[in-house]
Amino acid sequence: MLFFSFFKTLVDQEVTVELKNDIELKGTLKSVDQFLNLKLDNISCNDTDKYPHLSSVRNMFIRGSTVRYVYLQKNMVDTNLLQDAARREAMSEKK
Amino acid sequence: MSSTVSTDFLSSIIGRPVSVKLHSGMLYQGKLESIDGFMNVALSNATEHYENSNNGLLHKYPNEVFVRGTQVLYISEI
Amino acid sequence: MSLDAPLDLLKLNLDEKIYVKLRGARELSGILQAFDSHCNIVLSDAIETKYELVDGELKSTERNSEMLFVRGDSVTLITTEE
Repeated sequence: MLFFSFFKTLVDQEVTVELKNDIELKGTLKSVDQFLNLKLDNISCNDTDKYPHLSSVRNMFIRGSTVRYVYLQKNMVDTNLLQDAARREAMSEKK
Repeated sequence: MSSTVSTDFLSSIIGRPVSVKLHSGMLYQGKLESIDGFMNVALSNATEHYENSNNGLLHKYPNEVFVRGTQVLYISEI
Repeated sequence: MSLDAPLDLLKLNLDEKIYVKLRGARELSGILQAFDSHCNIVLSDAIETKYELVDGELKSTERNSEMLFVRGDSVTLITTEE
């Protein structure tokens, strides 16, 4: 549940999602679920030469399992809070 | 937890030198520090080869390495 | 604390510099900020190195990112930097 909660804190922020097929999508994160499926709005595709079919796409529902990376900005994340949450998650999974 | 042939095997090889083969063909050899039910593995003094330890040494890891269980093909005692 | 679980290695390395090997000839190094049991991770000050064969020659490209979420199913190996 750690990363589900983490992504919920990023809603309405601008993120860049890199998929496992190398497609990269920049957009506003609108929602996330427990599978880390993502809904993006106001999408711009950095590489419209390579993927012209994406140039007119404005919003998208992305299946979580197809994601490789999500690029974020440092100021979106409270790293102390995140590290503590990770420690607590590790503890709770023990028993 | 009830013990089975597989968990008995896994717990009996802790502390022993092992080979860990991954789906990618990478082969890791080192001392088995720990293992869990997902076949996640921790190795110390691990070496990395492709397919076979007779193929050239690709890397030596001075620190403990974590290998993700879903990538593991097999674990064998050396 | 018990060290009987391999994932404890990650807990010990929170806020430390780690090296991650991924599927598809990719590597990452960065400061570990979070992880879970699927090996989903967040790295800060991450450097990704991607290896490719271009006309039979091995080429590597680097990319930096200040904060990066990595989905666990791409992860194959994690260790600490020398």
